[in-house]
Amino acid sequence: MIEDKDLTGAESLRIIQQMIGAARDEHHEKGDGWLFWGWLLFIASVSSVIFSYLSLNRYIGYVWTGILVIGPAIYFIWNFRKQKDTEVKTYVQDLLHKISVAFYISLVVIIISGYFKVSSSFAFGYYYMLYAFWMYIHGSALRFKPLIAGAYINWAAAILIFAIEPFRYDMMVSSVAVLFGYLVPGYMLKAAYNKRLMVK
Amino acid sequence: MDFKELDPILHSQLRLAVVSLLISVKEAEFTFIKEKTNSTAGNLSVQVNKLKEAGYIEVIKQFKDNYPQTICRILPAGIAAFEQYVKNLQSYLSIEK
Repeated sequence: MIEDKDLTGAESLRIIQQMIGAARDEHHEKGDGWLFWGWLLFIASVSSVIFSYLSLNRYIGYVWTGILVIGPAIYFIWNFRKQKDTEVKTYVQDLLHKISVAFYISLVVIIISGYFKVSSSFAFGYYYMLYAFWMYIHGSALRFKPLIAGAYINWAAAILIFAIEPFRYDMMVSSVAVLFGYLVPGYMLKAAYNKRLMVK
Repeated sequence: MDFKELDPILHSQLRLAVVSLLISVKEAEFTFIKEKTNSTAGNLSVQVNKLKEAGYIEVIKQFKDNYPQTICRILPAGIAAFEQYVKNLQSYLSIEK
Protein backbone atom coordinates (compact mmCIF):
# COMPACT_ATOMS: atom_id res chain seq x y z
CA MET A 1 0.00 0.00 0.00
CA ILE A 2 1.21 3.50 -0.83
CA GLU A 3 1.40 5.65 2.28
CA ASP A 4 1.75 9.36 2.66
CA LYS A 5 5.33 9.71 3.86
CA ASP A 6 8.53 11.49 2.84
CA LEU A 7 10.44 10.03 -0.06
CA THR A 8 14.01 9.53 -1.13
CA GLY A 9 14.93 10.41 -4.73
CA ALA A 10 15.11 6.74 -5.70
CA GLU A 11 11.68 6.03 -4.20
CA SER A 12 10.20 8.95 -6.15
CA LEU A 13 11.61 7.58 -9.39
CA ARG A 14 10.28 4.10 -8.63
CA ILE A 15 6.75 5.43 -7.99
CA ILE A 16 6.78 7.47 -11.20
CA GLN A 17 7.93 4.46 -13.25
CA GLN A 18 5.45 2.12 -11.56
CA MET A 19 2.43 4.40 -12.10
CA ILE A 20 3.30 5.29 -15.70
CA GLY A 21 3.73 1.55 -16.38
CA ALA A 22 0.34 0.79 -14.77
CA ALA A 23 -1.40 3.39 -16.95
CA ARG A 24 0.40 2.25 -20.12
CA ASP A 25 -0.88 -1.32 -19.63
CA GLU A 26 -4.43 -0.10 -19.29
CA HIS A 27 -5.33 -0.01 -22.96
CA HIS A 28 -6.44 -3.48 -24.02
CA GLU A 29 -9.51 -4.81 -25.80
CA LYS A 30 -11.77 -7.82 -25.69
CA GLY A 31 -11.94 -8.12 -29.47
CA ASP A 32 -15.76 -8.08 -29.43
CA GLY A 33 -15.92 -5.31 -32.06
CA TRP A 34 -13.83 -7.34 -34.51
CA LEU A 35 -16.00 -10.41 -33.91
CA PHE A 36 -19.24 -8.45 -34.29
CA TRP A 37 -18.15 -6.93 -37.64
CA GLY A 38 -16.38 -10.11 -38.69
CA TRP A 39 -19.49 -12.27 -38.33
CA LEU A 40 -21.73 -9.66 -39.99
CA LEU A 41 -19.40 -9.32 -42.98
CA PHE A 42 -18.77 -13.05 -43.18
CA ILE A 43 -22.50 -13.85 -43.25
CA ALA A 44 -23.09 -11.10 -45.85
CA SER A 45 -20.22 -12.29 -48.07
CA VAL A 46 -21.16 -15.99 -47.91
CA SER A 47 -24.85 -15.29 -48.48
CA SER A 48 -23.90 -13.08 -51.47
CA VAL A 49 -22.02 -16.02 -53.02
CA ILE A 50 -24.98 -18.34 -52.39
CA PHE A 51 -27.55 -15.86 -53.75
CA SER A 52 -25.34 -15.29 -56.77
CA TYR A 53 -25.25 -19.05 -57.59
CA LEU A 54 -29.02 -19.30 -57.05
CA SER A 55 -29.58 -16.33 -59.41
CA LEU A 56 -31.20 -14.38 -56.58
CA ASN A 57 -29.01 -11.33 -57.10
CA ARG A 58 -31.61 -8.81 -55.91
CA TYR A 59 -31.29 -10.20 -52.35
CA ILE A 60 -27.57 -9.41 -52.27
CA GLY A 61 -28.36 -5.69 -52.18
CA TYR A 62 -30.85 -6.21 -49.33
CA VAL A 63 -28.30 -8.16 -47.27
CA TRP A 64 -25.57 -5.51 -47.62
CA THR A 65 -27.88 -2.56 -47.14
CA GLY A 66 -29.34 -4.23 -44.05
CA ILE A 67 -25.92 -4.90 -42.59
CA LEU A 68 -24.58 -1.44 -43.37
CA VAL A 69 -27.61 0.20 -41.73
CA ILE A 70 -28.24 -2.09 -38.75
CA GLY A 71 -24.56 -2.89 -38.04
CA PRO A 72 -23.30 0.67 -37.34
CA ALA A 73 -26.47 1.48 -35.34
CA ILE A 74 -25.99 -1.50 -32.99
CA TYR A 75 -22.25 -0.90 -32.84
CA PHE A 76 -22.56 2.79 -31.90
CA ILE A 77 -25.12 2.10 -29.15
CA TRP A 78 -22.97 -0.73 -27.80
CA ASN A 79 -19.80 1.39 -27.93
CA PHE A 80 -21.53 4.30 -26.22
CA ARG A 81 -22.59 2.02 -23.33
CA LYS A 82 -19.10 0.52 -23.14
CA GLN A 83 -17.47 3.97 -22.98
CA LYS A 84 -19.77 4.91 -20.11
CA ASP A 85 -18.53 1.86 -18.18
CA THR A 86 -14.78 2.51 -18.53
CA GLU A 87 -12.95 3.68 -15.45
CA VAL A 88 -10.12 5.32 -17.33
CA LYS A 89 -9.69 7.10 -20.64
CA THR A 90 -6.24 6.86 -22.17
CA TYR A 91 -4.82 9.07 -24.92
CA VAL A 92 -4.54 5.96 -27.14
CA GLN A 93 -8.27 5.26 -26.67
CA ASP A 94 -9.07 8.86 -27.45
CA LEU A 95 -6.99 8.83 -30.64
CA LEU A 96 -8.42 5.47 -31.76
CA HIS A 97 -11.92 6.79 -31.16
CA LYS A 98 -11.22 9.80 -33.41
CA ILE A 99 -9.72 7.53 -36.08
CA SER A 100 -12.79 5.27 -35.89
CA VAL A 101 -15.05 8.28 -36.50
CA ALA A 102 -12.92 9.19 -39.55
CA PHE A 103 -13.09 5.53 -40.64
CA TYR A 104 -16.91 5.41 -40.50
CA ILE A 105 -17.25 8.73 -42.34
CA SER A 106 -14.90 7.43 -45.08
CA LEU A 107 -16.93 4.21 -45.20
CA VAL A 108 -20.14 6.17 -45.74
CA VAL A 109 -18.42 8.15 -48.53
CA ILE A 110 -17.45 4.87 -50.26
CA ILE A 111 -20.99 3.51 -49.84
CA ILE A 112 -22.43 6.70 -51.35
CA SER A 113 -19.90 6.53 -54.22
CA GLY A 114 -21.28 3.05 -55.00
CA TYR A 115 -24.68 4.62 -55.71
CA PHE A 116 -23.17 7.05 -58.23
CA LYS A 117 -20.16 6.24 -60.37
CA VAL A 118 -18.13 3.47 -58.75
CA SER A 119 -19.10 -0.13 -59.55
CA SER A 120 -20.04 -2.24 -56.51
CA SER A 121 -17.04 -4.47 -57.17
CA PHE A 122 -14.70 -1.47 -56.96
CA ALA A 123 -16.52 -0.13 -53.90
CA PHE A 124 -15.76 -3.44 -52.09
CA GLY A 125 -12.08 -3.06 -53.01
CA TYR A 126 -12.09 0.36 -51.35
CA TYR A 127 -13.89 -1.06 -48.26
CA TYR A 128 -11.17 -3.61 -47.75
CA MET A 129 -8.43 -1.07 -48.34
CA LEU A 130 -9.99 1.14 -45.67
CA TYR A 131 -10.50 -1.77 -43.26
CA ALA A 132 -6.85 -2.72 -43.71
CA PHE A 133 -5.77 0.86 -42.94
CA TRP A 134 -7.89 0.90 -39.77
CA MET A 135 -6.67 -2.55 -38.66
CA TYR A 136 -3.03 -1.61 -39.21
CA ILE A 137 -3.32 1.48 -37.00
CA HIS A 138 -5.35 -0.37 -34.39
CA GLY A 139 -2.99 -3.35 -34.32
CA SER A 140 0.01 -1.05 -34.03
CA ALA A 141 -1.57 0.92 -31.18
CA LEU A 142 -2.37 -2.29 -29.30
CA ARG A 143 0.97 -3.84 -30.31
CA PHE A 144 -1.04 -6.88 -31.41
CA LYS A 145 0.55 -8.59 -34.42
CA PRO A 146 -2.43 -10.73 -35.56
CA LEU A 147 -4.38 -7.51 -36.25
CA ILE A 148 -1.45 -6.16 -38.29
CA ALA A 149 -1.35 -9.48 -40.20
CA GLY A 150 -5.13 -9.11 -40.71
CA ALA A 151 -4.48 -5.69 -42.25
CA TYR A 152 -2.10 -7.23 -44.84
CA ILE A 153 -4.72 -9.90 -45.63
CA ASN A 154 -7.32 -7.18 -46.22
CA TRP A 155 -4.95 -5.17 -48.44
CA ALA A 156 -4.31 -8.32 -50.49
CA ALA A 157 -8.09 -8.90 -50.66
CA ALA A 158 -8.58 -5.33 -51.92
CA ILE A 159 -6.09 -5.88 -54.75
CA LEU A 160 -7.78 -9.18 -55.71
CA ILE A 161 -11.23 -7.57 -55.66
CA PHE A 162 -9.98 -4.77 -57.93
CA ALA A 163 -8.38 -7.34 -60.24
CA ILE A 164 -10.99 -10.07 -60.62
CA GLU A 165 -14.53 -10.48 -61.90
CA PRO A 166 -17.37 -11.46 -61.67
CA PHE A 167 -18.87 -10.16 -58.41
CA ARG A 168 -19.38 -13.66 -56.92
CA TYR A 169 -15.58 -14.18 -56.95
CA ASP A 170 -15.17 -10.86 -55.18
CA MET A 171 -17.53 -12.15 -52.50
CA MET A 172 -15.52 -15.37 -52.19
CA VAL A 173 -12.38 -13.30 -51.66
CA SER A 174 -14.34 -11.18 -49.19
CA SER A 175 -15.43 -14.29 -47.20
CA VAL A 176 -11.86 -15.58 -46.95
CA ALA A 177 -10.48 -12.12 -46.08
CA VAL A 178 -13.06 -11.66 -43.33
CA LEU A 179 -12.44 -15.13 -41.95
CA PHE A 180 -8.66 -14.79 -41.73
CA GLY A 181 -8.36 -11.01 -41.55
CA TYR A 182 -11.13 -10.31 -39.02
CA LEU A 183 -12.46 -13.35 -37.21
CA VAL A 184 -9.16 -15.12 -36.52
CA PRO A 185 -7.43 -11.96 -35.14
CA GLY A 186 -10.65 -11.11 -33.26
CA TYR A 187 -10.72 -14.49 -31.50
CA MET A 188 -6.97 -14.23 -30.80
CA LEU A 189 -7.51 -10.79 -29.25
CA LYS A 190 -10.33 -12.19 -27.12
CA ALA A 191 -8.14 -15.12 -26.01
CA ALA A 192 -5.29 -12.70 -25.11
CA TYR A 193 -7.74 -10.56 -23.11
CA ASN A 194 -9.13 -13.58 -21.21
CA LYS A 195 -5.61 -14.84 -20.51
CA ARG A 196 -4.69 -11.41 -19.15
CA LEU A 197 -7.73 -11.46 -16.83
CA MET A 198 -6.72 -14.90 -15.53
CA VAL A 199 -3.18 -13.69 -14.81
CA LYS A 200 -4.59 -10.68 -12.90
CA MET B 1 25.13 21.61 -10.28
CA ASP B 2 22.35 23.60 -8.58
CA PHE B 3 20.06 21.67 -6.35
CA LYS B 4 16.49 22.88 -6.54
CA GLU B 5 14.07 21.97 -3.79
CA LEU B 6 11.48 19.37 -4.73
CA ASP B 7 7.86 20.57 -4.85
CA PRO B 8 6.39 19.64 -1.42
CA ILE B 9 2.95 19.07 -2.97
CA LEU B 10 4.35 16.34 -5.23
CA HIS B 11 7.03 15.04 -2.88
CA SER B 12 4.71 12.68 -1.06
CA GLN B 13 4.18 9.03 -2.02
CA LEU B 14 0.47 9.04 -2.69
CA ARG B 15 0.23 12.47 -4.33
CA LEU B 16 3.18 11.67 -6.59
CA ALA B 17 1.58 8.33 -7.51
CA VAL B 18 -1.73 10.05 -8.36
CA VAL B 19 -0.06 12.68 -10.55
CA SER B 20 2.20 10.07 -12.26
CA LEU B 21 -0.90 8.03 -13.07
CA LEU B 22 -2.92 11.00 -14.32
CA ILE B 23 -0.07 12.31 -16.47
CA SER B 24 -0.29 9.13 -18.57
CA VAL B 25 -4.05 9.09 -19.12
CA LYS B 26 -6.67 11.56 -20.28
CA GLU B 27 -8.84 11.07 -17.19
CA ALA B 28 -9.44 8.43 -14.56
CA GLU B 29 -12.12 7.51 -12.06
CA PHE B 30 -11.39 7.71 -8.35
CA THR B 31 -11.93 3.94 -8.03
CA PHE B 32 -9.34 3.28 -10.76
CA ILE B 33 -6.75 5.50 -8.99
CA LYS B 34 -7.56 3.81 -5.67
CA GLU B 35 -6.98 0.38 -7.21
CA LYS B 36 -3.74 1.31 -9.00
CA THR B 37 -2.22 3.15 -6.03
CA ASN B 38 -3.48 0.50 -3.62
CA SER B 39 -4.59 3.20 -1.20
CA THR B 40 -7.58 3.65 1.09
CA ALA B 41 -10.51 5.80 -0.04
CA GLY B 42 -10.12 8.16 2.92
CA ASN B 43 -6.40 8.82 2.46
CA LEU B 44 -6.75 9.12 -1.31
CA SER B 45 -9.61 11.57 -0.95
CA VAL B 46 -7.49 13.83 1.31
CA GLN B 47 -4.51 13.76 -1.09
CA VAL B 48 -6.69 14.32 -4.17
CA ASN B 49 -8.16 17.40 -2.45
CA LYS B 50 -4.66 18.75 -1.76
CA LEU B 51 -3.75 18.35 -5.43
CA LYS B 52 -7.01 20.03 -6.41
CA GLU B 53 -6.39 22.97 -4.04
CA ALA B 54 -2.89 23.37 -5.56
CA GLY B 55 -4.54 23.65 -8.99
CA TYR B 56 -2.73 20.53 -10.25
CA ILE B 57 -5.78 18.41 -10.96
CA GLU B 58 -9.44 18.86 -11.72
CA VAL B 59 -12.03 16.77 -9.88
CA ILE B 60 -15.39 16.24 -11.54
CA LYS B 61 -18.22 14.82 -9.48
CA GLN B 62 -21.18 13.43 -11.39
CA PHE B 63 -23.69 10.60 -11.42
CA LYS B 64 -23.42 7.40 -13.47
CA ASP B 65 -26.44 5.07 -13.40
CA ASN B 66 -27.66 6.78 -10.21
CA TYR B 67 -24.32 6.25 -8.45
CA PRO B 68 -21.89 9.07 -7.63
CA GLN B 69 -18.78 9.07 -9.80
CA THR B 70 -15.59 11.07 -9.28
CA ILE B 71 -13.35 11.71 -12.26
CA CYS B 72 -9.86 13.19 -11.95
CA ARG B 73 -7.96 14.92 -14.71
CA ILE B 74 -4.54 16.58 -14.66
CA LEU B 75 -4.41 20.33 -15.40
CA PRO B 76 -1.67 22.27 -17.27
CA ALA B 77 -0.30 23.54 -13.91
CA GLY B 78 -0.04 19.90 -12.75
CA ILE B 79 1.80 18.88 -15.93
CA ALA B 80 4.24 21.80 -15.54
CA ALA B 81 4.77 20.98 -11.85
CA PHE B 82 5.37 17.30 -12.64
CA GLU B 83 7.89 18.12 -15.38
CA GLN B 84 9.71 20.51 -13.03
CA TYR B 85 9.65 17.88 -10.27
CA VAL B 86 11.25 15.30 -12.59
CA LYS B 87 13.91 17.82 -13.68
CA ASN B 88 14.72 18.71 -10.06
CA LEU B 89 14.73 15.04 -9.14
CA GLN B 90 17.26 14.34 -11.88
CA SER B 91 19.58 17.09 -10.64
CA TYR B 92 19.06 15.89 -7.05
CA LEU B 93 19.96 12.33 -8.02
CA SER B 94 23.07 13.43 -9.90
CA ILE B 95 24.22 15.37 -6.79
CA GLU B 96 23.49 12.30 -4.63
CA LYS B 97 25.80 10.21 -6.87
